[in-house]
Amino acid sequence: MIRKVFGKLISRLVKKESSKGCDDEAHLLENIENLDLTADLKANLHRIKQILGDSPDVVIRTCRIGWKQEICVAVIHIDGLVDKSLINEDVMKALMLEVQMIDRKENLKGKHILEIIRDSMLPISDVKNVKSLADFFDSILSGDTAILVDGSDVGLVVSTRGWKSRNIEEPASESVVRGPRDGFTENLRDNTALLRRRIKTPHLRVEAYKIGKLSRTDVEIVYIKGIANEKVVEEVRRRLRRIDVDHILESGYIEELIEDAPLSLFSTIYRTERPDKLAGGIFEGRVGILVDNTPFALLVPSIFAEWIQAAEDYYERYPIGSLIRLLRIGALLSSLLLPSFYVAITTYHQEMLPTVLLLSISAAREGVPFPAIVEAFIMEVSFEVLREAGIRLPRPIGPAISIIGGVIIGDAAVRAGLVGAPMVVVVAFTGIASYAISGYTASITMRFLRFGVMILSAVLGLYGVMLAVIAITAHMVSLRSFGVPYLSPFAPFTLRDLKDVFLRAPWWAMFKRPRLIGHNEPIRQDYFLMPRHSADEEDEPVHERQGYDD
Amino acid sequence: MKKRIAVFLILVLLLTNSGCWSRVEIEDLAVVLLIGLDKAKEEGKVRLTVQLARPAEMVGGTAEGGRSTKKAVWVTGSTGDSVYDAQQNLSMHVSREIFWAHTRAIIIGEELAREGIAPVIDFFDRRRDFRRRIGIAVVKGEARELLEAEPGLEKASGQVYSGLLVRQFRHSKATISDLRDIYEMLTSKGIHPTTSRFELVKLKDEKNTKKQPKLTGTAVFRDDKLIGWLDEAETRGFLLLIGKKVTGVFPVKCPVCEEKNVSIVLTRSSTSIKPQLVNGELIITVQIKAEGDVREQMCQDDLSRPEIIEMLNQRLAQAIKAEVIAALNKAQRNYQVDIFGFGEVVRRKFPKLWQKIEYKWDEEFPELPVKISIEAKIRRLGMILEPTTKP
Repeated sequence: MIRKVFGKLISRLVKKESSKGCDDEAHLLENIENLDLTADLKANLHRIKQILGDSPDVVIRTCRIGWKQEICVAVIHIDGLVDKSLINEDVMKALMLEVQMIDRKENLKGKHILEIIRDSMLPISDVKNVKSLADFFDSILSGDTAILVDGSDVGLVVSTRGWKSRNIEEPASESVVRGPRDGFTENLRDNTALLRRRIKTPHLRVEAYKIGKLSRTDVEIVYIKGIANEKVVEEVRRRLRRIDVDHILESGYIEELIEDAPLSLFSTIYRTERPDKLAGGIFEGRVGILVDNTPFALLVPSIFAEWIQAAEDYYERYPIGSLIRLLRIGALLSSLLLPSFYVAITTYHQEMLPTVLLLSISAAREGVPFPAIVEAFIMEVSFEVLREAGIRLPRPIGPAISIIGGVIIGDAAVRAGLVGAPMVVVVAFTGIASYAISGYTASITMRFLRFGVMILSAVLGLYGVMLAVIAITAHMVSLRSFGVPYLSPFAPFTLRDLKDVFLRAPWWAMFKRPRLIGHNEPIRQDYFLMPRHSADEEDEPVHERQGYDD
Repeated sequence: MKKRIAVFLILVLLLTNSGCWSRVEIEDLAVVLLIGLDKAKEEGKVRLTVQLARPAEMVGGTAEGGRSTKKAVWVTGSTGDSVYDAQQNLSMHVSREIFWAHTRAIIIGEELAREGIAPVIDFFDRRRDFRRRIGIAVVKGEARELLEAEPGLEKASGQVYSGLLVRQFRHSKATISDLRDIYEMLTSKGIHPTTSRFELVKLKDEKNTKKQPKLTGTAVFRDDKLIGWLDEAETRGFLLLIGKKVTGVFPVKCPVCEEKNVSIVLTRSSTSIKPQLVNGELIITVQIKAEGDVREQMCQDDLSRPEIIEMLNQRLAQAIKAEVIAALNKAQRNYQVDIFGFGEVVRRKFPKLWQKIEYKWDEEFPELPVKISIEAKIRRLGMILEPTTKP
């Protein structure tokens, strides 16, 4: 119902916005898809200039090569996107100095010259033919160098990509104590390389898409053929293909355009800037989506349980990983419910408190002008403002403001009698707990929901908290991510998948992939991997074990 | 579409119209720690005394600024035709919402208890605020005085009572019953209620002349009316007889020198009460098995010899028996009420016989033959086998 209303509204807005202005250049832009290169170099260059305009970073170098017959050749690239030394040393040198290749034969036509240049002259591995103008522009605007030869309606595209990019650094939003320190960067090729370094199976597939009418952003999906469910892969392809926006600046655009529940507060697509996390997901049978110009990769299908799984759980020994995970579940619950519980119990269910605690809360609140719920809202909102300001502030003053905000305002508010000290404790704990959840998106969702639960708790007491929890759970049960129920393995219940939810089972016990995600190849490894003494091992030689591969 | 909206609205209204409605901010509560019930001076009226906590003074320390000179609790009261009426009248001078759920104990004055407690405790049974686990006690004298007594250690005497009730196991010289026990005993015909007794005493070693509350002995009821007390020794015998945990000290004379005492502490005891029909006559057989540790020996004799231990065992059994019989005699001879629940035991074993004698159980009980056999065993001598000094 809501979806329909929204859909109508949006389409109405869009209709109003669409302009009808259409000059010559726009016309060309629209028809770029249907145009091909021609055999006439001058005409080609004219058209290219017309389309690209008079930009100073567009370099068009025309030259004549060969002694016997002078052939017009144009080298085109975008300054800044290319490795200049590569062009000068290898492309230009080859064209201008290796002329004997061309001089050996006479009366060559443009097409043959192009073939000779491609097959014999260019000392560069990645060289492609290009026919249509659309491909031509896609290539040079991505940093390739095009070589056009007079008399040939086919051009050459030489891969000379090389621009300034950030080094591989530790991911800022997901740091670990133990585990690899490299994170994705803004460079898509670096990112696929980081994945390839982890997944060396020849079955790893990378499929490329260009999305965005104007931005022409490279988007690539990554999966292991045979392990990933082919239906899910096909669904990802289908959803990517139907995206028709004019630009993609970050993977968040893709996320919003392909997610299952666009109106939900819950995100049904996991995002990470850790290559090890993405690789882990791909090994389970998921599909990764990498987007150029952002270090954040997407992973589908995604389930709720991922919110409490951190990369480190899998690297630390399993008892530690399991305990920390239990702690994280507690943090998740308290980041959602703690202030509501406080409000509900102190205003409706005082009999639930131990007498001394009741009296000390009561003493702290004597003289506080606002009811508990207003107090809670003031503190929660100011905490959110502080947090937001802490992120936006220039880096050097960020921590200082946090300290001033947290300590001084919190303390001063209590001294001034605006809020009670217990509320400050509750809000501070809740704030900290919300960061113990793995994944920033998850913690934001919890924070938003917290306010709703607080209102219900103030109006209806613990009954309201229960109602809120039931409503949230019912909503989560209705969610699906690329065919996988969001609350699996709880609903539908899968006992064996719980080994990776509340606890993290040791690696030698994780025989199978998650049931609903990796059912294409459910068996991950063989059954007898628990480390043993070599004396015990002799009874059962390694090669006799029943492995999946046999 | 309209139907959907209607269903949605009905659902929301259904869910949100129930639930908790009595919202009170925590600082607007007057937390009752202790309730006292007395007979009012006016005929037929009840005086209700409550001890209210003053949160800031109770918590102390954390509050900023100079320490307040106010006491941690405020004892106030009102009278009314019924407990509920008196409770309503309280609100005429207590500025906050009176909050009953944290009541530690209900103290009933002797005079009121002698007239019957059933009329006044109905109020507590009916309301949801009161936990069934709160203690109920009778005070020798006025309940109001007890509530006003200034505690020696705690900030509020409400804490004193709960502390004393919890630590009853240290001496076993008082009975404790909570609200639920009292309701159960009042409902059953085979048992008469008993509960704790408080006394206000001047402690000898205190210069302070203010009286202190003391938990001691047992209050004995006939139905809902107080008829008398059991003293400390009788109480211990009573508790042993009904099979409650007793951990008291029994000093017995040393079997060798016959002069000085050996203190034996009961660590474990079990009681079995069996009704029997012998020639159509009802007999109750009580078997008590007790285990004890030697905790103190004032003489210098060697206790490690088995025959000495055997003699000690017998003396311990005798000491226990004396107390048990004292309790039994008091109940059968003096008060003539079955506080042990023998009637209940008979009802369970001989339900048909019980139907015949139920109405005259109170007359039968004083004449009921009760056989008591006691087995006592000393288990441990502590960390030394012999006294440190030889004579």
